[in-house]
Amino acid sequence: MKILLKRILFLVAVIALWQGVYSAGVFPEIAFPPPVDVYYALVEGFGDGTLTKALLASFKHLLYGLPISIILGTSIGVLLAKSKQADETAGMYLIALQSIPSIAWVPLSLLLFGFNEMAVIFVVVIGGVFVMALNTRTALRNVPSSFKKAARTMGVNGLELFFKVEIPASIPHFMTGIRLAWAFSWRALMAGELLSNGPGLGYSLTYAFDFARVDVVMAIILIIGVIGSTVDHLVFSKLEKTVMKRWGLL
Amino acid sequence: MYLELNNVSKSFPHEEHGAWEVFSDINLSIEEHNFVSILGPSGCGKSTLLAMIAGLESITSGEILLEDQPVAKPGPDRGMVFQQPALFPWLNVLENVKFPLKHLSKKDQVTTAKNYLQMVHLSRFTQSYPHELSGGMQQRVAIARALAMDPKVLLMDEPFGALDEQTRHILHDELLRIWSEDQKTILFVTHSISEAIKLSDRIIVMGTRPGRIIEDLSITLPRPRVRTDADVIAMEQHVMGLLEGEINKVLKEELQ
Repeated sequence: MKILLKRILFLVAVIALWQGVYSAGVFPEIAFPPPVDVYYALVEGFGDGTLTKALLASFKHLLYGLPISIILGTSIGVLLAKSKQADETAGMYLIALQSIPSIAWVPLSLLLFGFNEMAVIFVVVIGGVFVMALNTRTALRNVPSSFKKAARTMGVNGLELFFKVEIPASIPHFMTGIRLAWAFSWRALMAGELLSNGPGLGYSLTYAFDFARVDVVMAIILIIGVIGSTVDHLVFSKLEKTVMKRWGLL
Repeated sequence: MYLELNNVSKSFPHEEHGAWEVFSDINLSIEEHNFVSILGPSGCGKSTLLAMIAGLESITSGEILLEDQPVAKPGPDRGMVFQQPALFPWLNVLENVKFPLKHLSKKDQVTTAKNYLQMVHLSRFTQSYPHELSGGMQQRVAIARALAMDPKVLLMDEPFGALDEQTRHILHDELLRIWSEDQKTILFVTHSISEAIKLSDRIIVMGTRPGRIIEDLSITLPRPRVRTDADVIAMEQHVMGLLEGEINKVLKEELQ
């Protein structure tokens, strides 16, 4: 409770500072709205349904993109962890690919798929797939050899060993992979939508920018941050912590 | 003979010397129901030898026979307990002990697992998860899991090495009680002289560089064996004398 109070007080202080900067006229009014304008932009956006629609469109892109990136990333990760050949050949390129910011893929995606939602979904998939692959590979490689040895002395090996020991043993790292895949996909989604033809939260952001609605721009930035952290906090971090605890890693 | 090792050698490939020999021509015969310890300084290959009997390590040359059947790969006829309990954290205690019992019916799996958990006094913890148990309790689950397969021989690789002194003594007594109930053949690797003397019918003392058997001791002293007993002390002195030269060898090499 005390922590919550501290956080609320901090938020109030930040809004006060924001208001202060506005009142002092540091930036021109067209570039820097007061907090109250942003509040009204949020009320208006959710009131007339434009922000709700954009949000739903964004979630739809994620709903397609994130599972594909998780499945694809897991497959690549398993292949690299299990095949020395594959890992020696392709393993190092994975980190190179992971280091490319997802926005760099957007122009290519638009050329490949055109200005439609497929292009956005492609960017979402690319955004999450490499971190998922890296984490799956790490997860499988870090399965304690004592587990594998113990299982082998109990007559378990081959595919049975993989499914009954290696997969369950790697779930904690795997969960970290899913959480990171979500985080990267969410960023990629915004990057992809920013340059797309809509609908989506990122598109609404560009749209508001084009019409010099800086209050809406700020409102959307807030929504992106709040959703990103809320989903992480309520879904993925919680899931990861539960698993870590059960696996005795916390 | 129950378990037989004939001219068993182990070497690992080595970059400079071609091959690095851990030990060669180990000959050993072990009788059923015996509690045999393999005692030696670090580097003598005692754990490697045990892993070879388990089938986890390949045999470079020679053969290992269990009831006249050559050992080639791991199998449930040889249960193993490691220094780390190696329990699966995603399974509860009962499920862990059931893990090697897939050849039995569902009902028999539960009955068997529960029997062995009772044997190690953990009946109350069947639904607990490994991380909720102390190190000593985890190791008892591991012992129950290995015994539940009803192996022909129980291989133990410094199973109490990671536990505190107090817990170790309790588990020594438990192991002896279980052994007297279950009559398993136990092969127990340790570097602790007092542990080997307290537990075993027979101690195989190994030397190092190269690894070899330097003495094969039978212990007929009545159990329980107390450390302050004159015969126990005499035996400790004797084994200490055997190992002193070996331990010095290791130290010298490490200090070079």
